Amino acid sequence: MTDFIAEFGIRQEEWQSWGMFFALLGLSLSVAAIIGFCYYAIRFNDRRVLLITLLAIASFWHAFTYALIFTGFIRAVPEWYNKGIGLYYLIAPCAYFFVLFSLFPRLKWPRYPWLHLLPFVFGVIDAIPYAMASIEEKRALLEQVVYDMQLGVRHEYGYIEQKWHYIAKFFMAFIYVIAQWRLIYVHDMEFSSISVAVRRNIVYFSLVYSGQLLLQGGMVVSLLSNSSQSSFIMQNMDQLTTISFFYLTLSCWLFQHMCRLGLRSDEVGVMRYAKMNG
Amino acid sequence: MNYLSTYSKHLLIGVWLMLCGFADVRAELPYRHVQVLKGVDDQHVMFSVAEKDPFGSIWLVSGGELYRYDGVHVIPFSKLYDEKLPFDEVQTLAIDPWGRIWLNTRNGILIFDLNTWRFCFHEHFAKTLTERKALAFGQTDKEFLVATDIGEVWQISRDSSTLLFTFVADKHRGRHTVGNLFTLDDDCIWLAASGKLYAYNRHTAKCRRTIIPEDIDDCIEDLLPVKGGVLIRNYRDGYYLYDGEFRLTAIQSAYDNDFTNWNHWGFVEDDRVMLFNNHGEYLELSRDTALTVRKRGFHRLAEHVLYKRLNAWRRLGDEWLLATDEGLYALFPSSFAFEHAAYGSARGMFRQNDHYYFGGYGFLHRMPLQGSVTAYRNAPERNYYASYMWHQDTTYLALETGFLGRMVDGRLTVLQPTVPKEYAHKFSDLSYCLTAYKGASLLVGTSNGIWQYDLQTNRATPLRDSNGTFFSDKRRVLSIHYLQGRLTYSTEDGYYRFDGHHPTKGYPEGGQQLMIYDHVVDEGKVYLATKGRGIVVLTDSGSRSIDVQQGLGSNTVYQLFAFDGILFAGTHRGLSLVSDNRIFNYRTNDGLPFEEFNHQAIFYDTVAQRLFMGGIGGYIFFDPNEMVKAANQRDVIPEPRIVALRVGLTGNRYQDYYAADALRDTMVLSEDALTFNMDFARPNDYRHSYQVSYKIDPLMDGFQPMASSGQITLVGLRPGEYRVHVRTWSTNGGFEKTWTWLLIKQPAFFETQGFYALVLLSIAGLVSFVILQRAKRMKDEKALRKQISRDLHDEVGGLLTGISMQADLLSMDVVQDKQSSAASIGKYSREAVQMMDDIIWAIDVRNNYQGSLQERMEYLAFQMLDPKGIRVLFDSDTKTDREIPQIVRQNTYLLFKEILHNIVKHAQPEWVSITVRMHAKQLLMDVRNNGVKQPAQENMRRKGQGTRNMETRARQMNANLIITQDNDLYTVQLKVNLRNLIWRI
Repeated sequence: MTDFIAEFGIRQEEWQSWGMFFALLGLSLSVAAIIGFCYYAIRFNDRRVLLITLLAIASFWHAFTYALIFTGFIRAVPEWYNKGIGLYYLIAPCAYFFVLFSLFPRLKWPRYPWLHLLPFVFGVIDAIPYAMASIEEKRALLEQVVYDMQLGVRHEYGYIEQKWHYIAKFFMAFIYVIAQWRLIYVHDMEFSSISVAVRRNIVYFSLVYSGQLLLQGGMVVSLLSNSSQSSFIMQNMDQLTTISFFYLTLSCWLFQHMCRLGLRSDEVGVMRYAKMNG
Repeated sequence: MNYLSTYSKHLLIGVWLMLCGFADVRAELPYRHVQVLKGVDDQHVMFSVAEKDPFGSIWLVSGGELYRYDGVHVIPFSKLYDEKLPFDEVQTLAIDPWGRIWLNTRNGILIFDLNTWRFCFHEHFAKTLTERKALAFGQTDKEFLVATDIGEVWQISRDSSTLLFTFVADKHRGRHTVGNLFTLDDDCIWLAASGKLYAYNRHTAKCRRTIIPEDIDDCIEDLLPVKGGVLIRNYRDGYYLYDGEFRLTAIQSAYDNDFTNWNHWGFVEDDRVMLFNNHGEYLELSRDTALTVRKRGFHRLAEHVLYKRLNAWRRLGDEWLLATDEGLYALFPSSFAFEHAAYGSARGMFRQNDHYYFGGYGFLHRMPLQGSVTAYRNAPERNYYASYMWHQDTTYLALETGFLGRMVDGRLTVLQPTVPKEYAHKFSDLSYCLTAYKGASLLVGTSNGIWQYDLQTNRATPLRDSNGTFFSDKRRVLSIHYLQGRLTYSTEDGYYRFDGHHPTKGYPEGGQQLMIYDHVVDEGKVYLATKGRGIVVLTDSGSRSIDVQQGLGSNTVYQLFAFDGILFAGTHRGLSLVSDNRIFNYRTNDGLPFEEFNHQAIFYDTVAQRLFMGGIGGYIFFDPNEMVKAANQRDVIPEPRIVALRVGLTGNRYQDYYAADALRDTMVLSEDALTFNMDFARPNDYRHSYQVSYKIDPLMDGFQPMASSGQITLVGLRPGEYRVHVRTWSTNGGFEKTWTWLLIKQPAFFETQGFYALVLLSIAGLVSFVILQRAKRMKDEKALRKQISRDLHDEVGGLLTGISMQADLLSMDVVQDKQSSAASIGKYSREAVQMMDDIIWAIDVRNNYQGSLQERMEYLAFQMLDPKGIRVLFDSDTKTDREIPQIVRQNTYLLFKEILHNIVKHAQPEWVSITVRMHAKQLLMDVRNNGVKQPAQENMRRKGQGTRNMETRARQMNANLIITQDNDLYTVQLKVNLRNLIWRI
């Protein structure tokens, strides 16, 4: 382990920081939540559980690969890098539909649900060049990326400039989150079959998710407006601490949501849950 | 008086030597001197004292004012210090090893800390001493002592001061000396004051006082600590040794015994005492009381340095700073000692027997193998341009005017060749180079081509090709070599080869012209010394240049010599050694006496293994092996330092930072910083030739040379992290080193991630506001409908139900007419209740769920038609789960109700068929009845209120209403396009 850290680890002085603590705690909670969600997704066969599972996995992978790059350990697993581009595009739609179907459980999927998957598909396609590159090329790239993180958005392994992924992802998420809040606004408990507790839980989720999105958005705007300092911005511990904290908050929410599902895991609970959510 | 007489004597000797054409050549001690500064400005050239701080800057006192010289600028301290100066006049200064300047001012000691850039008054080490004046400072690289005017000797450490011993200080008897009367080594501290010599034993911490004999004390000038005693320089008598008693040593000069400061310089170094005397004498003694002579030799310092009026010398490491009345000088060991035959501008030279003969303009100069250069007057004054050693005692000389000369055993004969008549008009006697050719002939390169000179016939003919053409006609030939039957030569327009038949141009290609001063063939390669392209290397595979970009001293190269795979190139800017992977350069600050070399002034003495390279100041000569060895050991590069930081802030404010603590590796700029200037020092620039370039990450892609001002200015910095890389690149060997400073610009609030998040939040809020306004209308409408339906149901519905019930009670009365009235009331009120119920149902958004409309329509149809005996055929088919929009449900239901009313009112059908079909795209309602007895005439048809209402409702939901009558079948068809409606939650 020591050898492994010595070989791949960088920025070891930052490992003792609050930002890293929040990130690690958040990742741990996320892992626990994802395991639970997967179990309940199979057990309940419920689209909301499926959506929140997908969201949890995508955001976990985002945070996890970022942490790997930041610590330099990505060099040990170069195949893992750049694999989540498509997945990140799913976070915002998943959050939106999770809220939609939680507040309006009777609603059916919209007319063309596959449209929401288009960015995911494009993201997957754009990850192909890196996936096809030789291991030496990957290692060479990552050797630079871990020290100069802006290369992560400047490398040539993609059909489009990598920065557009960040811009598009954030722009989409921005639109989805507004629509998400609109759902909450138009939702009327008097006409709804869901419980107040479910609605409250959804509001908390939206708050946490929106807060995280705003911080990420702030970072994206910061990167765009000060592109020469993108490497510094992406590894600035002050900023990463805040973002890590919000990721931890999201992980906490995911974990508690998984626990809430667990409390309803008996048959009666399932029925109540089904009834409660229509 | 003594000074004047000595000075006059030297002046006379100097004039005499000049008249005699005497030139000097020395096997010199590798110590050299450089003038660091001419003065603080052009008019003020006198320095009282100068000392270098640990950060590389030199602190100067001139005219009682304090200055700092950072290698680029001389700046008065008053400009560097923001506050009012706490002194008026600085008399002398010293810098301790911890970076504090000890200023001895008229009013006492002031200590200025370079690390914090402030004066120290209250620190422990400063408390007592700031109330005293310094008599002298004693210092080594690691220690610092102060002798005060009240007779105390203090040892200073980083944080404290310790009183070592006291002495009698008589201010009136004190004499200011250039040398040190307060000195120390590991064993003892020596102080000569008020006619007494104090010896403080550092091991026993005891001080011994001895009275200095008056005749010694009168002219005491310097103390040099040796093991077991101290060497006392008396400028009148020489050196006394004190090892318990005073005795005059035998240290003498070969010429005279002048031990004054301007004729004598001495110091101790490790276990040696080194003495530099006038006439270039150098003496090295053992540093003990035996004073054994270890070395005698010559130095080249006195002429230029020691005769200046010396005010102070200070030592830091291996370097001495000499503050004189005519500038500031530095003396330090040289990495390589060039021997120098100084006589004037040099041209070709040769060795004949045991003498070297140097060409040039005027007389030849001659130098024995060991000795001095003198003008050789046995040969006439000529322009001796180049030479060719035909034999050990016979040399041919190319004369610039005179064509050719022959020198045999020191006797010159100017040859007057016969030239064939047909070529006489082309003959030029301006010769620049020569070489041996076939048989007993020479080839002479002239201003008009190459001429073959037959030594036997004394006949000169132009060198012709196989066609008999004078191929080098009209070309000035600058170098020529004939090796292994192959002739190569260079001219003002390029380099050529001649195989005996045809000349071919070797470089540059085509019609391009390039002046090539010299060429050398070595190991299958041809090296060309060009004017403008440095050294061009020709190989079988092509050509390449070695120029300034790669580190060559200059792109103009006058002479070349290949030795053991290394090229020695005399350039316009110094001497360059070119090996396969490195280029070493020597310039005046590396000990070279001149920088500009001359064409055809290069000679290698294979016997003595001396390489002579001539230039505008005569010849330098050295063993090339030794020089290559020395060059490879040179890898010292001065470390660049930031000496000032100026930050421009908003509101036209500026902040200046000079403190060493503030100029460390990491600098943090506040958020309101707009401009940023870094002033870099060029420490030891006078000692080492190096170039400085810089790069700022991430603003610059590559390094660029630093401006001569040493300043880097950054304007409009965005927040973030910048790395300022400063690379020093030694011109000697291409050693390079890079130092990095980290610059962090703090973001203003409007540049923070938080601010951007707030902006996004605002935008999101605004967009949401616009979007939610629309949703709000819908929501409000829903709430209103809900409220109306609730009120209607609760208030009016209850009232009507009450009326209905009262009417029912009345109808039970016995009176018949009352019964009918009551029944009417009941009927109307029930109808009203039913109507209101329909309206409530229609506007209540809670009934928008799937299936609600069909259920209600079926219920209504049976309620209205069944009592009339009309058979109802109701068919409903739904193929979508989608909720029915409010507007569709409401209008469809009311329209349906109108249709049924019309049927009940105007037709008496036997049956009514109702079909409601709904799928994702369309809602279709079809109502048929057979109540039409006779077809309506076209002109009789008019639309009733009911039909108009139906059409209006159809329009409201963008639907088609089709009413047809076919025989006895009356059909009303409604088609609602659900796709036209905005899908809403």
